[in-house]
Amino acid sequence: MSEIIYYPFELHCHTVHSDGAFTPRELVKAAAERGLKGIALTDHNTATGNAEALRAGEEFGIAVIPGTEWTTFYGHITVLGGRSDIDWRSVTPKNAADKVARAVMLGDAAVLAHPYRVGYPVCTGGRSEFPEEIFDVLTGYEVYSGLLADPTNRRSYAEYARLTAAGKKLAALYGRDWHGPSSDVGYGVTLLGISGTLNAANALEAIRSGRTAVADRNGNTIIETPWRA
Amino acid sequence: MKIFSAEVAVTRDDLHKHLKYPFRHLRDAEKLTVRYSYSPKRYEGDDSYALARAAFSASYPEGAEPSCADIEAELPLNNHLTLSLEREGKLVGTAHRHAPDAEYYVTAASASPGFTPTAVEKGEWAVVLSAHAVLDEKLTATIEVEAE
Repeated sequence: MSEIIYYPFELHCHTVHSDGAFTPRELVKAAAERGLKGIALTDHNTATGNAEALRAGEEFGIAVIPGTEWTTFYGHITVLGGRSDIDWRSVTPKNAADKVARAVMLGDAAVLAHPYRVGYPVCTGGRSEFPEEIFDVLTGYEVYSGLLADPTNRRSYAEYARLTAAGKKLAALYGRDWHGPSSDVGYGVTLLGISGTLNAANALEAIRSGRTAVADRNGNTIIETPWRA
Repeated sequence: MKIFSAEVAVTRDDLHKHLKYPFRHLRDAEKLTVRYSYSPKRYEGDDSYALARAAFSASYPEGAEPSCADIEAELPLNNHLTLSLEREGKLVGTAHRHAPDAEYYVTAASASPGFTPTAVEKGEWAVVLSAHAVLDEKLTATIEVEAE
Protein backbone atom coordinates (compact mmCIF):
# COMPACT_ATOMS: atom_id res chain seq x y z
CA MET A 1 0.00 0.00 0.00
CA SER A 2 1.23 3.52 -0.82
CA GLU A 3 2.30 5.91 1.86
CA ILE A 4 -0.51 8.15 3.16
CA ILE A 5 0.23 11.87 2.86
CA TYR A 6 -2.11 14.49 4.33
CA TYR A 7 -2.83 17.44 2.01
CA PRO A 8 -4.81 20.63 2.74
CA PHE A 9 -8.08 20.97 0.84
CA GLU A 10 -10.98 23.41 0.80
CA LEU A 11 -14.13 21.39 0.22
CA HIS A 12 -16.84 24.08 0.15
CA CYS A 13 -16.47 26.80 -2.50
CA HIS A 14 -18.71 29.04 -4.62
CA THR A 15 -18.22 30.99 -7.83
CA VAL A 16 -20.18 33.24 -10.17
CA HIS A 17 -22.11 30.13 -11.21
CA SER A 18 -24.11 30.73 -8.03
CA ASP A 19 -23.54 33.61 -5.59
CA GLY A 20 -19.76 33.70 -5.38
CA ALA A 21 -17.43 36.42 -6.60
CA PHE A 22 -14.69 34.26 -8.14
CA THR A 23 -14.85 32.74 -11.59
CA PRO A 24 -13.97 29.05 -11.33
CA ARG A 25 -10.46 29.77 -12.65
CA GLU A 26 -9.99 32.61 -10.15
CA LEU A 27 -11.09 30.31 -7.33
CA VAL A 28 -8.62 27.59 -8.27
CA LYS A 29 -5.83 30.16 -8.71
CA ALA A 30 -6.58 31.65 -5.28
CA ALA A 31 -6.55 28.19 -3.71
CA ALA A 32 -3.20 27.33 -5.29
CA GLU A 33 -1.72 30.67 -4.16
CA ARG A 34 -2.77 29.85 -0.59
CA GLY A 35 -0.95 26.53 -0.67
CA LEU A 36 -4.05 24.38 -0.89
CA LYS A 37 -3.53 21.13 -2.79
CA GLY A 38 -7.13 20.71 -3.77
CA ILE A 39 -10.66 22.11 -3.71
CA ALA A 40 -14.20 20.94 -4.24
CA LEU A 41 -16.43 23.25 -6.25
CA THR A 42 -19.83 23.27 -4.60
CA ASP A 43 -21.89 26.00 -6.23
CA HIS A 44 -25.45 26.32 -4.99
CA ASN A 45 -27.76 24.10 -7.01
CA THR A 46 -25.66 23.98 -10.17
CA ALA A 47 -22.69 22.10 -11.55
CA THR A 48 -22.06 24.34 -14.56
CA GLY A 49 -18.78 25.74 -13.22
CA ASN A 50 -17.11 22.36 -12.88
CA ALA A 51 -15.65 22.12 -16.39
CA GLU A 52 -13.79 25.42 -16.07
CA ALA A 53 -12.61 24.53 -12.57
CA LEU A 54 -11.26 21.16 -13.75
CA ARG A 55 -9.30 22.87 -16.53
CA ALA A 56 -7.94 25.37 -14.02
CA GLY A 57 -6.93 22.54 -11.71
CA GLU A 58 -4.68 21.22 -14.46
CA GLU A 59 -3.34 24.72 -15.15
CA PHE A 60 -2.46 25.47 -11.52
CA GLY A 61 -1.52 21.95 -10.46
CA ILE A 62 -4.08 21.24 -7.76
CA ALA A 63 -6.81 18.61 -7.48
CA VAL A 64 -10.35 19.74 -8.28
CA ILE A 65 -13.32 17.68 -7.11
CA PRO A 66 -16.40 18.57 -9.18
CA GLY A 67 -19.52 18.99 -7.13
CA THR A 68 -22.55 21.00 -6.15
CA GLU A 69 -24.34 22.06 -2.98
CA TRP A 70 -27.96 21.07 -2.66
CA THR A 71 -29.17 24.32 -1.16
CA THR A 72 -32.60 23.23 -0.04
CA PHE A 73 -35.04 25.02 2.22
CA TYR A 74 -34.36 22.40 4.90
CA GLY A 75 -30.59 22.04 4.93
CA HIS A 76 -27.55 22.14 2.69
CA ILE A 77 -25.61 19.08 1.46
CA THR A 78 -22.41 19.26 -0.57
CA VAL A 79 -22.28 16.47 -3.12
CA LEU A 80 -18.73 15.77 -4.25
CA GLY A 81 -17.64 13.85 -7.31
CA GLY A 82 -19.86 14.98 -10.16
CA ARG A 83 -21.35 11.53 -10.71
CA SER A 84 -24.97 12.09 -9.70
CA ASP A 85 -27.43 14.50 -11.27
CA ILE A 86 -30.22 14.84 -8.75
CA ASP A 87 -32.52 17.86 -9.07
CA TRP A 88 -31.97 19.84 -5.86
CA ARG A 89 -35.63 20.85 -5.80
CA SER A 90 -36.65 17.25 -5.26
CA VAL A 91 -34.80 16.93 -1.94
CA THR A 92 -37.05 17.18 1.13
CA PRO A 93 -36.66 16.09 4.75
CA LYS A 94 -38.84 13.07 4.01
CA ASN A 95 -36.74 11.76 1.10
CA ALA A 96 -33.31 13.27 1.85
CA ALA A 97 -31.83 9.98 3.05
CA ASP A 98 -32.95 8.23 -0.15
CA LYS A 99 -31.57 11.05 -2.32
CA VAL A 100 -28.23 10.98 -0.50
CA ALA A 101 -28.08 7.19 -0.73
CA ARG A 102 -28.64 7.42 -4.48
CA ALA A 103 -25.90 10.05 -4.92
CA VAL A 104 -23.49 7.90 -2.89
CA MET A 105 -24.46 4.77 -4.81
CA LEU A 106 -23.61 6.60 -8.06
CA GLY A 107 -20.13 7.36 -6.74
CA ASP A 108 -20.39 10.73 -5.02
CA ALA A 109 -19.57 11.66 -1.44
CA ALA A 110 -22.30 13.59 0.41
CA VAL A 111 -21.53 15.94 3.26
CA LEU A 112 -23.86 17.75 5.65
CA ALA A 113 -22.82 21.40 5.38
CA HIS A 114 -22.78 23.82 8.34
CA PRO A 115 -25.28 21.78 10.36
CA TYR A 116 -25.97 24.53 12.92
CA ARG A 117 -25.49 27.72 10.93
CA VAL A 118 -27.97 30.42 11.86
CA GLY A 119 -31.02 29.46 9.82
CA TYR A 120 -34.19 31.04 8.47
CA PRO A 121 -34.72 33.92 7.95
CA VAL A 122 -31.02 34.81 8.21
CA CYS A 123 -29.88 31.91 6.00
CA THR A 124 -32.58 29.64 4.59
CA GLY A 125 -31.67 26.02 5.19
CA GLY A 126 -28.49 27.08 6.95
CA ARG A 127 -29.46 25.04 9.99
CA SER A 128 -30.17 21.45 9.05
CA GLU A 129 -33.68 20.09 9.59
CA PHE A 130 -32.90 16.74 8.00
CA PRO A 131 -33.96 13.72 10.06
CA GLU A 132 -31.63 11.41 11.96
CA GLU A 133 -31.66 8.65 9.32
CA ILE A 134 -29.63 10.84 6.99
CA PHE A 135 -26.57 10.13 9.12
CA ASP A 136 -26.73 6.46 8.10
CA VAL A 137 -26.01 7.38 4.47
CA LEU A 138 -23.98 10.62 4.50
CA THR A 139 -20.24 10.36 3.88
CA GLY A 140 -19.08 13.37 5.88
CA TYR A 141 -20.01 16.11 8.30
CA GLU A 142 -18.77 19.71 8.42
CA VAL A 143 -17.67 19.74 12.04
CA TYR A 144 -16.36 23.24 11.46
CA SER A 145 -17.75 25.81 9.04
CA GLY A 146 -16.55 29.30 8.22
CA LEU A 147 -14.66 30.99 11.02
CA LEU A 148 -13.31 28.32 13.36
CA ALA A 149 -14.33 30.36 16.41
CA ASP A 150 -17.97 30.73 15.31
CA PRO A 151 -20.09 29.61 18.30
CA THR A 152 -22.33 27.44 16.11
CA ASN A 153 -19.34 25.18 15.46
CA ARG A 154 -19.49 24.11 19.11
CA ARG A 155 -22.96 22.68 18.43
CA SER A 156 -21.67 20.88 15.34
CA TYR A 157 -18.67 19.52 17.24
CA ALA A 158 -20.85 18.14 20.02
CA GLU A 159 -23.28 16.60 17.57
CA TYR A 160 -20.44 15.02 15.59
CA ALA A 161 -19.09 13.47 18.78
CA ARG A 162 -22.53 12.05 19.55
CA LEU A 163 -22.98 10.64 16.05
CA THR A 164 -19.58 9.00 15.77
CA ALA A 165 -19.88 7.58 19.30
CA ALA A 166 -23.10 5.98 18.07
CA GLY A 167 -21.17 4.34 15.23
CA LYS A 168 -22.03 6.67 12.33
CA LYS A 169 -19.24 6.55 9.74
CA LEU A 170 -18.99 10.26 9.03
CA ALA A 171 -15.71 11.87 8.00
CA ALA A 172 -14.78 14.99 9.96
CA LEU A 173 -14.54 17.85 7.48
CA TYR A 174 -14.15 21.62 7.34
CA GLY A 175 -16.01 23.93 4.96
CA ARG A 176 -15.03 27.55 4.61
CA ASP A 177 -18.03 28.20 2.42
CA TRP A 178 -15.70 30.34 0.36
CA HIS A 179 -17.55 32.97 -1.66
CA GLY A 180 -14.76 35.31 -2.77
CA PRO A 181 -11.68 37.30 -1.89
CA SER A 182 -11.34 38.00 1.83
CA SER A 183 -8.87 37.72 4.66
CA ASP A 184 -7.85 34.15 5.52
CA VAL A 185 -7.53 34.89 9.24
CA GLY A 186 -9.57 32.56 11.41
CA TYR A 187 -10.44 30.00 8.77
CA GLY A 188 -9.35 26.36 8.58
CA VAL A 189 -8.69 23.57 6.11
CA THR A 190 -9.52 19.91 5.72
CA LEU A 191 -6.54 17.58 5.67
CA LEU A 192 -7.11 14.56 3.43
CA GLY A 193 -4.90 11.50 3.85
CA ILE A 194 -4.24 10.50 0.27
CA SER A 195 -2.78 7.22 -0.86
CA GLY A 196 -1.09 7.45 -4.25
CA THR A 197 -1.44 10.28 -6.71
CA LEU A 198 -2.91 13.58 -5.57
CA ASN A 199 -6.14 13.68 -7.56
CA ALA A 200 -9.89 13.96 -7.10
CA ALA A 201 -10.54 10.22 -7.05
CA ASN A 202 -8.01 9.60 -4.30
CA ALA A 203 -9.25 12.64 -2.38
CA LEU A 204 -12.77 11.21 -2.42
CA GLU A 205 -11.41 7.85 -1.31
CA ALA A 206 -9.71 9.55 1.64
CA ILE A 207 -13.07 11.02 2.68
CA ARG A 208 -14.85 7.68 2.32
CA SER A 209 -12.11 5.97 4.33
CA GLY A 210 -12.16 8.46 7.19
CA ARG A 211 -8.62 9.65 6.56
CA THR A 212 -9.52 13.26 7.28
CA ALA A 213 -8.86 15.95 9.85
CA VAL A 214 -9.82 19.57 10.42
CA ALA A 215 -6.88 21.89 10.98
CA ASP A 216 -6.16 25.58 11.31
CA ARG A 217 -4.30 27.45 8.60
CA ASN A 218 -0.99 26.52 10.19
CA GLY A 219 -1.78 22.83 9.91
CA ASN A 220 -2.50 22.25 13.59
CA THR A 221 -5.10 19.50 13.86
CA ILE A 222 -8.29 20.41 15.72
CA ILE A 223 -10.20 17.17 15.23
CA GLU A 224 -9.65 14.05 13.19
CA THR A 225 -12.06 11.37 12.12
CA PRO A 226 -12.13 8.81 14.94
CA TRP A 227 -12.48 5.78 12.65
CA ARG A 228 -10.83 4.35 9.53
CA ALA A 229 -12.42 2.17 6.90
CA MET B 1 -39.89 38.26 -29.71
CA LYS B 2 -41.60 38.15 -26.35
CA ILE B 3 -43.15 34.71 -25.85
CA PHE B 4 -44.19 34.88 -22.20
CA SER B 5 -44.69 37.47 -19.50
CA ALA B 6 -46.36 37.44 -16.13
CA GLU B 7 -46.72 39.50 -13.00
CA VAL B 8 -47.31 37.21 -10.04
CA ALA B 9 -47.87 37.53 -6.33
CA VAL B 10 -45.72 35.44 -4.00
CA THR B 11 -47.16 35.33 -0.49
CA ARG B 12 -46.06 33.95 2.85
CA ASP B 13 -48.14 30.86 2.05
CA ASP B 14 -45.72 30.21 -0.81
CA LEU B 15 -42.69 30.08 1.48
CA HIS B 16 -40.48 27.07 0.72
CA LYS B 17 -42.41 26.17 -2.41
CA HIS B 18 -41.25 25.91 -6.01
CA LEU B 19 -43.67 28.00 -8.07
CA LYS B 20 -43.86 26.91 -11.67
CA TYR B 21 -44.90 29.19 -14.55
CA PRO B 22 -45.11 27.06 -17.71
CA PHE B 23 -45.14 28.41 -21.23
CA ARG B 24 -45.26 26.81 -24.66
CA HIS B 25 -42.56 27.80 -27.09
CA LEU B 26 -43.95 27.38 -30.61
CA ARG B 27 -40.92 27.70 -32.91
CA ASP B 28 -37.31 26.62 -32.71
CA ALA B 29 -35.06 29.58 -31.95
CA GLU B 30 -31.41 30.41 -31.38
CA LYS B 31 -31.61 32.07 -27.99
CA LEU B 32 -33.94 32.24 -25.01
CA THR B 33 -33.66 35.22 -22.66
CA VAL B 34 -35.35 35.26 -19.26
CA ARG B 35 -35.72 38.40 -17.15
CA TYR B 36 -37.17 38.47 -13.68
CA SER B 37 -37.49 40.82 -10.78
CA TYR B 38 -39.23 40.91 -7.44
CA SER B 39 -39.92 43.42 -4.74
CA PRO B 40 -39.58 44.28 -2.01
CA LYS B 41 -36.13 42.78 -1.46
CA ARG B 42 -35.57 44.16 2.01
CA TYR B 43 -37.89 43.30 4.86
CA GLU B 44 -38.55 46.39 6.95
CA GLY B 45 -40.83 44.83 9.58
CA ASP B 46 -40.54 45.90 13.21
CA ASP B 47 -39.99 42.27 14.19
CA SER B 48 -36.77 41.94 12.15
CA TYR B 49 -34.47 42.01 15.15
CA ALA B 50 -36.61 39.50 17.06
CA LEU B 51 -36.76 37.15 14.08
CA ALA B 52 -33.00 37.27 13.62
CA ARG B 53 -32.40 36.82 17.33
CA ALA B 54 -34.62 33.73 17.39
CA ALA B 55 -32.65 32.24 14.49
CA PHE B 56 -29.38 32.85 16.32
CA SER B 57 -30.74 31.32 19.53
CA ALA B 58 -31.80 28.16 17.67
CA SER B 59 -28.23 27.59 16.47
CA TYR B 60 -26.08 28.84 19.32
CA PRO B 61 -24.84 26.40 21.96
CA GLU B 62 -26.26 26.46 25.45
CA GLY B 63 -24.87 29.34 27.45
CA ALA B 64 -23.76 31.36 24.43
CA GLU B 65 -25.58 34.57 23.63
CA PRO B 66 -25.30 36.40 20.33
CA SER B 67 -24.30 40.02 20.74
CA CYS B 68 -26.50 42.84 19.47
CA ALA B 69 -23.77 43.58 16.93
CA ASP B 70 -23.86 39.97 15.67
CA ILE B 71 -27.60 40.19 15.16
CA GLU B 72 -27.58 43.67 13.65
CA ALA B 73 -24.92 42.56 11.19
CA GLU B 74 -27.59 40.32 9.61
CA LEU B 75 -30.11 43.15 9.22
CA PRO B 76 -31.97 44.06 7.17
CA LEU B 77 -33.46 40.64 6.53
CA ASN B 78 -34.23 39.90 2.91
CA ASN B 79 -36.83 38.21 0.81
CA HIS B 80 -35.19 35.71 -1.55
CA LEU B 81 -36.50 34.08 -4.72
CA THR B 82 -34.24 32.11 -7.05
CA LEU B 83 -35.00 31.29 -10.67
CA SER B 84 -34.78 27.95 -12.43
CA LEU B 85 -35.58 27.07 -16.02
CA GLU B 86 -37.10 23.79 -17.17
CA ARG B 87 -37.53 22.26 -20.61
CA GLU B 88 -39.94 19.34 -21.00
CA GLY B 89 -39.91 18.95 -17.23
CA LYS B 90 -36.13 18.66 -16.97
CA LEU B 91 -34.00 21.21 -15.14
CA VAL B 92 -31.95 23.41 -17.49
CA GLY B 93 -30.38 25.28 -14.61
CA THR B 94 -30.73 27.39 -11.51
CA ALA B 95 -29.41 30.85 -10.79
CA HIS B 96 -28.88 31.02 -7.05
CA ARG B 97 -28.26 34.76 -6.72
CA HIS B 98 -29.33 37.40 -4.22
CA ALA B 99 -30.05 40.35 -6.52
CA PRO B 100 -33.80 40.97 -6.92
CA ASP B 101 -33.55 41.39 -10.68
CA ALA B 102 -31.54 39.60 -13.32
CA GLU B 103 -31.37 38.46 -16.93
CA TYR B 104 -30.21 35.03 -18.07
CA TYR B 105 -29.90 33.38 -21.48
CA VAL B 106 -29.64 29.93 -22.95
CA THR B 107 -28.48 28.82 -26.40
CA ALA B 108 -27.34 25.47 -27.76
CA ALA B 109 -23.70 26.52 -27.46
CA SER B 110 -23.57 28.62 -24.30
CA ALA B 111 -25.62 29.88 -21.38
CA SER B 112 -25.48 32.18 -18.37
CA PRO B 113 -23.60 30.74 -15.39
CA GLY B 114 -25.84 28.27 -13.59
CA PHE B 115 -27.55 27.07 -16.78
CA THR B 116 -26.62 24.24 -19.14
CA PRO B 117 -26.36 25.15 -22.83
CA THR B 118 -29.59 23.86 -24.36
CA ALA B 119 -31.10 24.04 -27.83
CA VAL B 120 -34.06 26.41 -27.81
CA GLU B 121 -36.48 23.99 -29.40
CA LYS B 122 -40.22 24.34 -29.51
CA GLY B 123 -42.08 22.64 -26.73
CA GLU B 124 -42.99 22.98 -23.09
CA TRP B 125 -40.78 25.23 -21.00
CA ALA B 126 -41.23 26.70 -17.52
CA VAL B 127 -39.78 29.34 -15.28
CA VAL B 128 -39.70 28.22 -11.64
CA LEU B 129 -39.38 30.63 -8.74
CA SER B 130 -38.13 29.00 -5.54
CA ALA B 131 -39.31 30.85 -2.45
CA HIS B 132 -36.32 30.65 -0.11
CA ALA B 133 -37.45 33.59 2.01
CA VAL B 134 -40.79 35.42 2.04
CA LEU B 135 -40.99 37.76 5.01
CA ASP B 136 -43.44 40.32 3.68
CA GLU B 137 -47.11 39.46 3.30
CA LYS B 138 -46.76 39.62 -0.46
CA LEU B 139 -43.99 39.99 -3.01
CA THR B 140 -44.62 41.04 -6.58
CA ALA B 141 -42.54 39.25 -9.18
CA THR B 142 -42.31 39.85 -12.91
CA ILE B 143 -41.15 37.32 -15.48
CA GLU B 144 -40.43 37.99 -19.13
CA VAL B 145 -39.18 35.50 -21.70
CA GLU B 146 -37.94 36.34 -25.20
CA ALA B 147 -36.95 34.02 -28.02
CA GLU B 148 -34.91 35.06 -31.03
